[in-house]
Amino acid sequence: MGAQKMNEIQEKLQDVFRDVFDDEELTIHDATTSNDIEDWDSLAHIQLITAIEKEFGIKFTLKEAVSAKNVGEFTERIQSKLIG
Amino acid sequence: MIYILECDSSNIYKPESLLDAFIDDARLKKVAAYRFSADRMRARLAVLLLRFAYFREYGSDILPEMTFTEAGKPYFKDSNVRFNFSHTEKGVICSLSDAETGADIESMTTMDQSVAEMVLSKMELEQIQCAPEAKKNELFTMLWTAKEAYGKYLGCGLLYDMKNETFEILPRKWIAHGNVYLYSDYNETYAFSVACSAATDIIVIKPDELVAFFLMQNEME
Repeated sequence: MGAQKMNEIQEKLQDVFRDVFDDEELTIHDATTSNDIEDWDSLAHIQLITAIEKEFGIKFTLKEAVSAKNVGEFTERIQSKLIG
Repeated sequence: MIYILECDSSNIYKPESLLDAFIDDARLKKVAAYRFSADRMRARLAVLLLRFAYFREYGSDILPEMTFTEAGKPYFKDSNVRFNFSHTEKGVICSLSDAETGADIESMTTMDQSVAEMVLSKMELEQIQCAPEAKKNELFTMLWTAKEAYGKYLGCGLLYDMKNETFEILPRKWIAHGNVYLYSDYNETYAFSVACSAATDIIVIKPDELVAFFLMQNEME
């Protein structure tokens, strides 16, 4: 998958984060974790997963969902689902 | 014993440095990793509530050294006392026991059907469907905290087959779930659950009581 496609994933992912956390100013990076976003708790994590599933038309197992610890890991999982 | 601190962590406990004197360096590092001051304060309050509870239950004002399992569950090194804690915007919960325990507290949330379908069992979904409209969010938030408290009790967090684990929720009642006892409750701002090997008392404390305890400790040192 090319760099352009990766950028598209990251842009869409940023929109999902902004929507879930209701913050239009929110900027995410690969290293962004729950420590960096005030409302990112365990339940918000699941809300994030279901929003990502809808946005990208993919499905995660609960294990895949729970084990993603930062934005970079989310991006990798989305990328592999889109390829696979 | 279960301790609950009812508070709005965004506007209490200043200066932070006074509180930090009662928190070990390893925990302070975890506190410092949070970007937002409200998160840092909640993480502080969780360990302070643990310290308060430990003093009340075991009579010692020094906590045993804390370490973590591979899955990230905190525990006291070289001690049979088990604990668990959780914090949210308006509350902190700390469970302290001679056997394994897990605790979770969550701000009251609006149920999202997709989220519910991802984490709840078929029977739990039916239970919510049958509940009065005004009670659905409370039931969902309690079920979520029950799932998380149970996972924390087991030591695996959310990494267990939670969709195939059905929890019965009756607020303010201890319910047997296999060998584990679960207790859930809620108010207008949060819901919580604890998982223990036996039913125990729930103690709710106010911020003033916690502050008074540490101010007294400060004067004694």
